Amino acid sequence: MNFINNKDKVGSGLFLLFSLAYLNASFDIPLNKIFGDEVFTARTLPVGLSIISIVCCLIHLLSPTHNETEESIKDAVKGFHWKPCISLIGLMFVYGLTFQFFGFVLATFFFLLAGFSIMREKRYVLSSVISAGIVFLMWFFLTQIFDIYLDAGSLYRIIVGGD
Amino acid sequence: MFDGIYQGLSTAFLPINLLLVFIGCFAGTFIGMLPGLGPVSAIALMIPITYSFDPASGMILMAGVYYGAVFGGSTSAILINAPGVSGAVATAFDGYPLAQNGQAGKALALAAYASFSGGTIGAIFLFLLVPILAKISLAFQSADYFALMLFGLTAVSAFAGKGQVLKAILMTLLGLMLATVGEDPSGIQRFTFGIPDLYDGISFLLLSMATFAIAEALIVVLKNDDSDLNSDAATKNTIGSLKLSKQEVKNIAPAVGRSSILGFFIGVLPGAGATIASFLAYGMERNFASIKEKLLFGKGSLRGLAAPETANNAASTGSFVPLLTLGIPGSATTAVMLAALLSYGVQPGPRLYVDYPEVFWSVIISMYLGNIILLVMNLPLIPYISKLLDIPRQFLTPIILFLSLIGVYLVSFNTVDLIMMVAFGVIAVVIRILNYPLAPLLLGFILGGMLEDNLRRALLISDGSIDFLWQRPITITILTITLITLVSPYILSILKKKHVADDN
Repeated sequence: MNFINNKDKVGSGLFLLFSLAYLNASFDIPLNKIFGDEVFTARTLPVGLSIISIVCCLIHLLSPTHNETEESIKDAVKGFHWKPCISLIGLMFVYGLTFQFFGFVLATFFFLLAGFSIMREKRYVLSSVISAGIVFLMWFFLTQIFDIYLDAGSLYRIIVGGD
Repeated sequence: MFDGIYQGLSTAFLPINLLLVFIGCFAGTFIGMLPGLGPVSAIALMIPITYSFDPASGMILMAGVYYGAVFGGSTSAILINAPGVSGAVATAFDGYPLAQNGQAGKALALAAYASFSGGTIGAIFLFLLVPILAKISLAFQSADYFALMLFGLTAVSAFAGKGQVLKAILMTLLGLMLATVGEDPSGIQRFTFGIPDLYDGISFLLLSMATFAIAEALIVVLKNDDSDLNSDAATKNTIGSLKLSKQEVKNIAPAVGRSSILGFFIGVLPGAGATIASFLAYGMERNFASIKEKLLFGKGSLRGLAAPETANNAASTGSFVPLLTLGIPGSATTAVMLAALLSYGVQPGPRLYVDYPEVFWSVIISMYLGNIILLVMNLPLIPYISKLLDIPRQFLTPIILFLSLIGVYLVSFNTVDLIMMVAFGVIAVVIRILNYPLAPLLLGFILGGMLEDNLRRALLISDGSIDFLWQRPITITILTITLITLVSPYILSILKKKHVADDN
């Protein structure tokens, strides 16, 4: 099997890069000057962990391939539906970024509506009713029963006024 | 001890706490049935809701949710061959064929009885074992705790399965590395890169929801695994009778007894948990079965269903032993429980037994109450609960994603956490595609802080020398077991290869 295409090896290769970067960043951790030569500093564990992980990655990378347990990345992702998955990831990012502006009610309503649409639900009226229902139920339970504060959003404050 | 039990009983039997067990079991069953939401996510979702509760009530609700979610996972495994939790995979082997044969009701009833029996025997062991272990563990020092945590982390890796040991170790290390983000105990910022949102470190809830709920939901979308859901609509509508004959009960009773004991002790081992217990119990019963019965395994054997179902519930109970006695979670689920206890200001471990007897005993008693409630409530509700699985995937997935996101937001009220959560979810999907296990990452993350604290303390006491590793008999014993656990998969693999070579 092609080494580069072996998903186990790719995983440990990526982790090796991460460990090297982590080790590099570990040396940037400042030392506590007040206590002088401490036996255990803020760097001790990070440096130790990165050395152990670099050794483990190298062992994994250099050990022989077990064909019965390892498959290629190409085989592993065969038939995957990337489009809805990437769209949902994008939608979640947008939800996080716009939550403060739109507030819980609007942001959640649009998130659910767009989510149903990404999942190829064409009955838009039904989708809207379900989204509105979930938003109302969640808002009711959280604010009225559990007394949890939910942000109304900047947009609401711009329109209605107040803090 | 009896005072503590009395306090625990009076706390657990408070009307509000009884109601919480009931709600927990009910909510847990629903959440556990949803593909992508297992006990980890179910309990994590409860954390923001239980913030205002007292520790005992919060833990009682979570124990109910835990048992409910485990049972819910089995229900979806039987009805649609989609185990909601990994511990229910072996349940699907015989549960799903039974459902296909029109015996879904019998399979679900048997799962409920088996879970109850496993939970009952597990609770008896827990009741007897935990106080003794808690007393012993009072003698533990920092070096012993450090050794124990190493054991917990290596055990997770050792039980990871063929070809997965090194990958599990790498994931444990990744968890430990992520745990170092934020302010260290001496007040020094580590890996925060000047971002204020990282000063307090990464939230455990955020990481657990990202790696379990979000990643699982996205993987389901990637694989588009809804073929089973549509084709099994008929199965769900024809549940059949819930009754078991006397002969059937007689036949499965020994399997239930054996699997309970096996399950409990596997569950006690850090890292082993319900999944391994259920597979081992399934394998054990298959070996005990006659040649005629053996042929039925995988095609709808009642023993094949009862054994893993009993074992996974007994193991769920057993996994509370290291949490309650040592403060070390043995599974991803108990790791979330630990996070919840810490958020209440309660430090689990031997002192929990002394300082908070009402929390300690009420959790144990509530876990058993949860088993009774599940049996009484779920049996008559099975036909109705199963309707939940009719919710189309196009609605379910965005709802699961929303619940996961809002669960994390409600703890911190910080939208940066939402962005971080999605980013971790994407990384978790990549890790899943590359076939690296995620549970060790979570355990490494939760144990990271405690491991560092104990290592720091042990090193300071021994003046920087690593003598502490072999100065005390407890430490050296635990470290020897750790080494054996870590090396044994490799030795067994070499021996197996040698055996095959000799045979050839």
